[in-house]
Amino acid sequence: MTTKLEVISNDEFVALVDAFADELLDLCQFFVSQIEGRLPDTERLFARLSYASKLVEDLLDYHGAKNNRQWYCYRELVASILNFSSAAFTMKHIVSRISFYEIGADEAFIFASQLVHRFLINTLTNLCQELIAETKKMGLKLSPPTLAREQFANLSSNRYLEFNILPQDLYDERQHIVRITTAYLNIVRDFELLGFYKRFPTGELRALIPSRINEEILRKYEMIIHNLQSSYDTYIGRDASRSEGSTFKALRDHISISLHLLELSGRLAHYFERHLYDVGRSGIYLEVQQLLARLVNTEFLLDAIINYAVFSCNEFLARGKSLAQSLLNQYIEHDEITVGVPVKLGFHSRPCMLVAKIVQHYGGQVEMIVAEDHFDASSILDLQWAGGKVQRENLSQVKFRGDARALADIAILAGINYGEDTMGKGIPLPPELSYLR
Amino acid sequence: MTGRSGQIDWYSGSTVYEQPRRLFWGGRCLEVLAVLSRGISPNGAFLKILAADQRCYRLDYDQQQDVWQIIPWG
Repeated sequence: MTTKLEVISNDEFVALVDAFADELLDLCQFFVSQIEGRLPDTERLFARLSYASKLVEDLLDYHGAKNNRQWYCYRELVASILNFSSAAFTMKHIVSRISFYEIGADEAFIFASQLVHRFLINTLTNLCQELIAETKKMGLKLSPPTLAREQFANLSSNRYLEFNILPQDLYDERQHIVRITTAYLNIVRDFELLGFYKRFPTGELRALIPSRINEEILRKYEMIIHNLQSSYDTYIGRDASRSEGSTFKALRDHISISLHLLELSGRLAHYFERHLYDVGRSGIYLEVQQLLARLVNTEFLLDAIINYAVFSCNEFLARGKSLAQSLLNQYIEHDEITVGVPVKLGFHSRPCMLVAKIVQHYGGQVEMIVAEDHFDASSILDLQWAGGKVQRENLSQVKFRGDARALADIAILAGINYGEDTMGKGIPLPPELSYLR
Repeated sequence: MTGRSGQIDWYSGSTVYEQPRRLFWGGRCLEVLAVLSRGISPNGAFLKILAADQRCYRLDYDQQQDVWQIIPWG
């Protein structure tokens, strides 16, 4: 049974907002009163601003403020504060943790991180000022400020509690390491296909969102990376040998920084698309969109999303590949198989491509061994080079050595003459190799 | 971008990752030899650079106005 909606009078609603917005307005007044460099730049401040604005936003949305001429602007300002305080919380975490992450962060990245954080704080200042002005304009209650700097102590620290829990022997940890590093390599391969391996000039940024990158794509990757990190934390043990300086710690840090950059870019892309992107609004909607565009430096916002967050995420994910690869090769089960050469046509393009795709799918190292020579089986060119040798020496069999998972699939592929008949025409692949289609 | 009384030519075209290429200052075009330091200010950020005239300049970015200013420094 659904509850019937009733119209609430403006006076009643004012009383409700007064009751719920007190903490948000106190925080806004505190925020704008902390001029030039005196703001306690701490997670606690952004967290409180975030939850206080969320509470008011929910109140406004439950009562339909989005569709009300008197309340729409107020609602959009509250939503803007929610988005930017949440982004600032994430950004503060990045800025605080950079020096602890083993990700090879250079000076330019650290500087860019601080600059983006400064942008978020400046934007929040503008938004808080405007919300206070709107509160006065609407005749809402604005109590005298009560907050003091001491109430916003810093969360970050360089001190750690002693590592005094003995290493655990987790079930099937080896298999989980192989699974997680393989998943990492596949995620990176997909993310790289988005093409954010270079920075874009400011003038080109507006054309990229939402057509090439948008909230939906970023949130999807955020969820995928979040799941990967969660799986890592559940199934891979954290003994002392895997702390500072280890490949495990470095890989975990690359996953973590990528996740935070995706959280940031997803949140900001949502803000741009929902509040600033021109979707043909008119009337009050357009007026408020134009007001927000004056309070938020849109060019810098796009620069922060694409040239800082998405670009850096791509960079760190790519840098983590060698770590994942190294752990994968260390933990995979190694094997060796001997299989036949493709009948009649030998190792030409199609068989080479299918073998390379199998190896790339699993990520572990595999070599093709022809007589005494070893070839990288993840490379089509290497395989074709090997194919030439096979043909010259008139061999009927070759060996593959490396990742047992890939070898099992190569054996299946070899069993169907590498997916083609003797005339070179493609034949259906079995279900085990469906990922090659 | 226009400075206090000059212009800055950048490599990347991205404010977040600005890398100055040359300054147009005092009627001259000066190559940027090195970025000496970068910092954050309440209004935005700044870069201290060494230019081809062997002088140092501070390039101040005002985020609210989205403008850079060139200030001879040191």
